[in-house]
Amino acid sequence: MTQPRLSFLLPLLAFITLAAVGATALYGTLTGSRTPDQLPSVLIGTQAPQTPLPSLDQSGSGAPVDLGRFRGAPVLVNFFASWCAPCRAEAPALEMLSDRVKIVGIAYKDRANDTMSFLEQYGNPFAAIGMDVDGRTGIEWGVYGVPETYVIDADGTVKYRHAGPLTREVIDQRLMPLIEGGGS
Amino acid sequence: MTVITAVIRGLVMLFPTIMMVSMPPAARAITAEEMLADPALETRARTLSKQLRCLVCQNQSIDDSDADLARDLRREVRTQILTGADDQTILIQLRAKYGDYVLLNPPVDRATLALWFAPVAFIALGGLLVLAARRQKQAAPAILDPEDRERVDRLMRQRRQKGRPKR
Amino acid sequence: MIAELGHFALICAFILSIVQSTLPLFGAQRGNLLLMLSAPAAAISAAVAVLIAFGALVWGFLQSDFSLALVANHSHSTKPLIYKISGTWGNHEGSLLLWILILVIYGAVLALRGKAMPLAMKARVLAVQGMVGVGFLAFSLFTSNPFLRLATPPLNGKGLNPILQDPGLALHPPTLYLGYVGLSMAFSFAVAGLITGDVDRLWAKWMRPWIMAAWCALTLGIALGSWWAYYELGWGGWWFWDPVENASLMPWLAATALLHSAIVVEKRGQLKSWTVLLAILAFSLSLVGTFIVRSGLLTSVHSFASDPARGVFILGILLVAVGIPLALYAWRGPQLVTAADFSLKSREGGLIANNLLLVVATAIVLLGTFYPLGLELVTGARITVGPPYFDATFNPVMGGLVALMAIGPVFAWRRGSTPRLRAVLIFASAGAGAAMILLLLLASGVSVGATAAVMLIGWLGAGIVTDIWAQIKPGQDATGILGRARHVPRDVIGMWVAHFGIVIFMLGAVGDSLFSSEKVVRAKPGTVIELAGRMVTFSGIRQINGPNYQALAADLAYRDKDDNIIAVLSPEKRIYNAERQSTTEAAIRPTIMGDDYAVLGDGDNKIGFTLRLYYKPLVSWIWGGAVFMAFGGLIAATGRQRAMRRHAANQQTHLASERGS
Repeated sequence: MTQPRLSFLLPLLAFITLAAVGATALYGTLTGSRTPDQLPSVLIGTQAPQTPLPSLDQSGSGAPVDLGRFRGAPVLVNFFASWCAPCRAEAPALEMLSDRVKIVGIAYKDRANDTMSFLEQYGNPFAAIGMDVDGRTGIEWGVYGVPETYVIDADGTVKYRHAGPLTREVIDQRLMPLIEGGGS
Repeated sequence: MTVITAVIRGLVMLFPTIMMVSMPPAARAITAEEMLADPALETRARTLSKQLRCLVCQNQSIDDSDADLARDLRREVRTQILTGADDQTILIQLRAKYGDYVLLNPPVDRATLALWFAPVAFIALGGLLVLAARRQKQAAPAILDPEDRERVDRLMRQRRQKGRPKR
Repeated sequence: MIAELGHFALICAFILSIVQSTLPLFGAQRGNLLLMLSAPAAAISAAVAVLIAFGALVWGFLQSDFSLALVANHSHSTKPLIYKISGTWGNHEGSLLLWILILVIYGAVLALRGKAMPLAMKARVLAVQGMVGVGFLAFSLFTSNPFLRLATPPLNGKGLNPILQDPGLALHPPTLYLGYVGLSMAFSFAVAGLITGDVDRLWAKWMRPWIMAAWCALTLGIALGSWWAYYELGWGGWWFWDPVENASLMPWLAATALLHSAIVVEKRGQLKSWTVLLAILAFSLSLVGTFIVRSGLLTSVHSFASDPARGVFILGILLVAVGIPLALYAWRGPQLVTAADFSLKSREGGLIANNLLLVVATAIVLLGTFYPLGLELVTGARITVGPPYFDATFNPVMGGLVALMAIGPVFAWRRGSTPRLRAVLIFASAGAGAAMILLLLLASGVSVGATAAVMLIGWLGAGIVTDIWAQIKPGQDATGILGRARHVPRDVIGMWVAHFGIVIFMLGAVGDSLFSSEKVVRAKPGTVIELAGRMVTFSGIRQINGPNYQALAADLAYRDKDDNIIAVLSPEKRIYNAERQSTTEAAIRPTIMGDDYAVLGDGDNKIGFTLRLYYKPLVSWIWGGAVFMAFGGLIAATGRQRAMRRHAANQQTHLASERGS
């Protein structure tokens, strides 16, 4: 009639856009392609932080852990803690992985005695263990919970981060390709 | 594009920053030990904390949250302030570790251009639509009183529905 | 047994709603009286059926019937009685049933009253209402059945989230839903109007009481929620721009625009297409809100346990319930447009600006809420849109609206200003200036935004008072103030009260944000803390054994300058036995001039306890303002009823006589 027809279509178009967003998001959540509780790490593609950490070993003394030692081959960095329940769940997975790749463990906000008891009980898959007593190293890495696992390639570049306990799926689909891919 | 982004970024950073810096801070989940001795620095710390998201909570700032990570980040902010870093640097550093997600105030860049432009665009669009509608509506002068016009409309409709010819 | 009865009743309600949404439409189309009467009949029966179902569910909670899955998951035998009852809606399935109950009761009320409406209209409105009911009953029965049984009932339930064990749970959801769901009535009127094309002044008259009821309830519901968060969450905040809060704000903004727009349709026959659109939008936003809360797509403190599968169903409801009416609007909307017979500098113009600003504000909130999700889907990037964004964008738009509020009502209909306008402009400006001067005297280093807010308070406050005075001051014909006041129509009085509620609200918000004081200390028993002119003595900690929790309470004695005890506040830290969760219960001493707010943190007798003490001036005016707004709405709503019925009766006789010719 007298009003431009288009302006009456606008609400419908706006709604369709919103519905499309909702539908796509739901589809992604239901098929698993969308993982809202996994925050993508900002460090991916950059050099892994080099903060040396006091090491944990049976005698309580030892050279500080330094990631530079592990250059030349892919390495995993796993943040864990004795007070973290999912960390116990992923212990077998880490055991299995330790045969194929070196894993550096960082005990996040933990006490040396508790960490040692944890390792005795659940096994020690780590090539080296650093103690991050106050959590500052965690902040360096952008850690927001435990456990978290980072894949570092031979050059020291961060390739991937998984937040939460490692599962068979994650290992096979995400970690192994990067580990076997090897270099940069 | 970058000039516009920079201008918007400047204007947008100005607004909430002024709003927050000048308001007296309200301590939330903080403990006495966390607070810095210097009240001016402590104010800065609280203002910054209110702009940082607690990553393990549901929509809270690290100032409000009781979570361990929030406490660590609050401490980190204060440590940085004590080393003399300015507010922007601290925010940039945390953003470099945790991403844009940690900022409660979304950054102004290409990804959020639509977000920041939208309010102005909405007003402009709305205004244009209203004016366009009026220019076209001014056609017929109002002969009838609105009430009478409606009665006529209703009668016409009823007659049409009953199949009677319009008189 | 009772649960099965409830389940059966729910199924009956579903079938009745299907009847209600189909038969009356045929009836209205063909003029078949019997088919049209099926609408009120079905509406009333459906309401009875859902009432039975709801009663059965409440009974299950009351009896702690743990063979019901819902009761087992959300209740416990030691829960206090009031939380057993209100816990019925402290979960997804139960709150959905409450939603449905209120929906069908609204329909039943229209069926029983609304005698002034022609049957055809009523039949169509109830039919649309029935369609909404069908959607939600299907949602409940097929995906969220509250009556599911457990094969092996546990000995006791998992209990209710301690944060929900609060009187707020008894009041906030029902009030809020009365608002959300009440907007479905306006929606039904709009869709019925789009179907027939009968959108006119009578239509607006019939619709108004429903809009007012929903708007008042929604205002109170949001205020209750905000107040509950304030005293329950333990840090004195009252609005967080959380997605679920936004989900309640958006319908409120649209409903506010709607109720103003409907006035223009009723009085002047203008803005019809605006009003129809706003009615559809307001309820659509209620539905979008349901989607936000129950689909788990957006993180929130408030959301129920997320279930994307349910989200799909709600999306389906949305597509039908919103998509079809909006398509209908795109098609039929232009036919509703009447030639404008007013200049933009008129009350109609002011109300168009009002509509525009409120819709823009709604769009901003909607965009800010969904942008992170949209961006994540497109680029994978994760951002947060938090309070700073909304403060920078939403507040200025609302500021513009507040400025408009002082002068819009003073314009005349159709064109031009009234003599009152000049007076209002002068005094409003004076008010703004005075407020600014007062602010400069009382505070320093205040931000631009806060200064603007204070000036707006002065502007609007002075503007309203001037308008009131202009209308009730003794006239030339020697009628006194009371005489003139009695002649002011109720809806004008309601407007004054409601708009003044905004002034009160803003005073509360500004008072709290600019003038709060706080002290955070690590204190051992015996410490004295000074705060805002009071001396607070921390006397000690004691243990409390609650009905279903253990608590530590700190006793804080507040003394004024003359050493008289003003009050004793006892903030607690509670650990709930069954749920094994802890909460902080802040101790609040609310007064008109401000709240004393005390929180107990961690610690022990050796190193002391963390105490957080606040004094928040005028903070209760935030919710007081909202109550004023709702009260103003109530006044305006009741004023129209009598006049409306008389007018409608006249219209009916007119129409009847015309139809006969």
